[in-house]
Amino acid sequence: MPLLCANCGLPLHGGDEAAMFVCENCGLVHEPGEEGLTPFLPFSAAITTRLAYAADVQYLAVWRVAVQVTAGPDSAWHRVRKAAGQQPPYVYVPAFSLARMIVHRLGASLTERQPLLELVSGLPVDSMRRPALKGVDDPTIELALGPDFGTISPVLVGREDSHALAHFVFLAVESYDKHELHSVDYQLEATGEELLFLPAVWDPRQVHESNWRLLLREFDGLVA
Amino acid sequence: MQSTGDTTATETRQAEPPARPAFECPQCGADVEMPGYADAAICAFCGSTLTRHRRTGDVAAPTGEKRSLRSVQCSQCAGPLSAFEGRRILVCERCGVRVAVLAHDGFSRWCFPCRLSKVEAAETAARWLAEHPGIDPAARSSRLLDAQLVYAPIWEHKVLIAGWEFGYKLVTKAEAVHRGIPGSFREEETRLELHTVKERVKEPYLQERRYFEAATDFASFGGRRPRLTGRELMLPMLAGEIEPGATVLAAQGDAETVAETGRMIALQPVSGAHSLSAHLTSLRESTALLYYPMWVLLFGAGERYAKIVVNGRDGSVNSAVAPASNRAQLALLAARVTALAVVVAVLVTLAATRSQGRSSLVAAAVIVSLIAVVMVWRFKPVREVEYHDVFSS
Repeated sequence: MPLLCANCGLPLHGGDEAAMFVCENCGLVHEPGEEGLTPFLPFSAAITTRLAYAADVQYLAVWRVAVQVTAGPDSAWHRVRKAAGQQPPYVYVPAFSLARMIVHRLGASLTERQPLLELVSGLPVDSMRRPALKGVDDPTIELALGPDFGTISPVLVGREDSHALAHFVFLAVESYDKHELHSVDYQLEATGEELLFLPAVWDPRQVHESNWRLLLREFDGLVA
Repeated sequence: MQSTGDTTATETRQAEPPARPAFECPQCGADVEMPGYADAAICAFCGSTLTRHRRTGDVAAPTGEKRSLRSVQCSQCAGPLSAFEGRRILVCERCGVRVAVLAHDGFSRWCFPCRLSKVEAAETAARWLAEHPGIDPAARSSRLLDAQLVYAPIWEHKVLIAGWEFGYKLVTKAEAVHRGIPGSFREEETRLELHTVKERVKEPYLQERRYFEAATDFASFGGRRPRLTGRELMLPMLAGEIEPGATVLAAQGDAETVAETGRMIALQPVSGAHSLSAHLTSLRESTALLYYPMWVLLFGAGERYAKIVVNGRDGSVNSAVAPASNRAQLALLAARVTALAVVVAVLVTLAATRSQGRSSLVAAAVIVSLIAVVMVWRFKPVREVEYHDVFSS
C-alpha cells in the first residue's frame, strides 16, 4: 500500500507508529483499512488567543469525541457540561502523542475548558509550512524548539482507539481534584468523533499542558 | 513455555526439496516459491518484491478467494523497497516513497537476522565445551559432526494499555521520634518508629505491554526460548531471504488464542491496591510471529555426543548437553572411603588391644563401615552436563 496522497499523489506524512497519514500538501488525512487508504478532510481550529506568541505555530492532532455520559451527582462531568454551555460536551483525546503525560494533561485540560473552536475544513498547510527537524541528533534542539514533526503533527491514535482513550481522559478529569477517590462509577458511550488540528506553540513553561501552549482564548489565563 | 498446541498456522520446512512453485511473478512470469511462513518474496529473475494478494469471489477456490502475487516494487519508480524505518513501512531506495505493509492471516511475520556464520557458531560451541566445568575431557576435544541453522517461531502480542486504577494500599512508613529523657541533661533520644499507613492509589496507565510465547517446542531441538525485549532489530520474513539450508520450524497455535492470552495478562492490575477499582482498556493490538535463528551443533567423540544450541542473533550459548566427567566425584568418594577405612582400622586395632570397652569399639567400627558402604552405594555417576542460558525460558 503506497503511502501517497489520493488527491495530489505526493508522499504522505507519518511514521511507523502513525494510525493515519497526513498529506502536508493538500491537507487530506488518509485512514488505512482493508481496502487501502481512505482519505478524509479533517478540521483545523483558528488561532483565537489574544496574547502574543513568538514561536512557530504547530498544529496538533486531537480527536474530539462526542459522548453520552451517565455519572454520579458528585461527578466532575457536571462541571464540564456547564463549561460547554450551549454546545454539547466533548472529550478531547490528543492524537499526536502516546506519551501518558501528554494524553493525560492536555486531554484533561481541553476537556475541562471545552474551548469554543472556530473550525475550518482542511489544514492551513499553505500559510505556515516549515520543514521537520528530523535527523537532528542534538537533544537540546528538541528542548529549545519542541518536537521535530514540523507544522503538522502526526496522527498516532486511530478512530477506534480514540474511543478507548476517551475513557482515560474522562477518568483524568474525574480524578483531578478528588484526593480520596477509591472508585468511579460511570458509563461513557462514544457516539462520534472528529479529527481536529489545534494551533499550539512549544513552550517549556507550560508545565501543566505538557509544554504545549494552545493558541486558544480559553487558555489565555494560563499564560504567565 | 505456554503452548496452545491448537492448530498449525504455517507449514514450513525449507530443508525439504522445494515442491512445484505455486506462484508466478506478475512482472516477468518466472516461477516464484512462496513458503507459508513468508509475507513476501523476491523474484529471483526480475528482482520484484512480491506479496500475497487475495481476490475475492473466485468460485473455483474452495474458500471463495484465490491467492495470487502482487508486485510491491515502488509504485513511483519501480525501485527496490527496504525496511529500515520500522516494522510497518518499507521505503523505496531510489525515490524515497514509503509503502505500508499489511499483514496476512491477521498477523505479520518477522525474523531476526542471523549474525553468526556456521564457523563462528562452531567456535562459540567449541569454546563452551573447552571451558565449561564438569565436562568429560574426551568431549572437550570432540569433532563437529553437524551444524544446522534453525529458525524457531515465537509469538509476540503487543498492546497499549490505557486506564486508571483507584483504591488504597497499606504501606510501612518510618518516622523519626524525638524524646527527651526525664531528669537527665543528656541529648534527646531519637529513634525510628514504623507505622502502617493507608495510602491512596490513583494511578494512570498508558503503556505498551508485550507478551511472548514460544510457537514451537524449543526442547525438540535442545534449546530454550531466548529472552526478548521487543526492541531487537527485525526484518520482514521474505521468501528466499533465509540462509540456504536453514530449517524454518512450523508455528503452532493461532494468533487469536495468543492475542487473548496476551490481552488477559496485559489487563491485569499492577498497583497491588486493596478495594481496587480498575478501568483498563487495550488498544493498538498487534500479533506477530517472530522467527529466531538458532544454530544446533552436534559434537562427537567416540560413542559420546554433545549437543550445543548457539543463539544465532547474539552469539551466546542458549542450551547445551555434554558428557560429564566423574573424575572429581570419584576422587572425592575414594578419599572419603579411605578416611573411613582408616577410622575402622583404628577402631578394630583398639578393640583388639584393649580389654575394656571392646564391644563399644566394635559397634563403632561396624557403624563407620556401614556409613562407608552406604556412601558407595548411593554414589551415582553424572552422565551429562546440562546448561541453559539464565535468561531463557
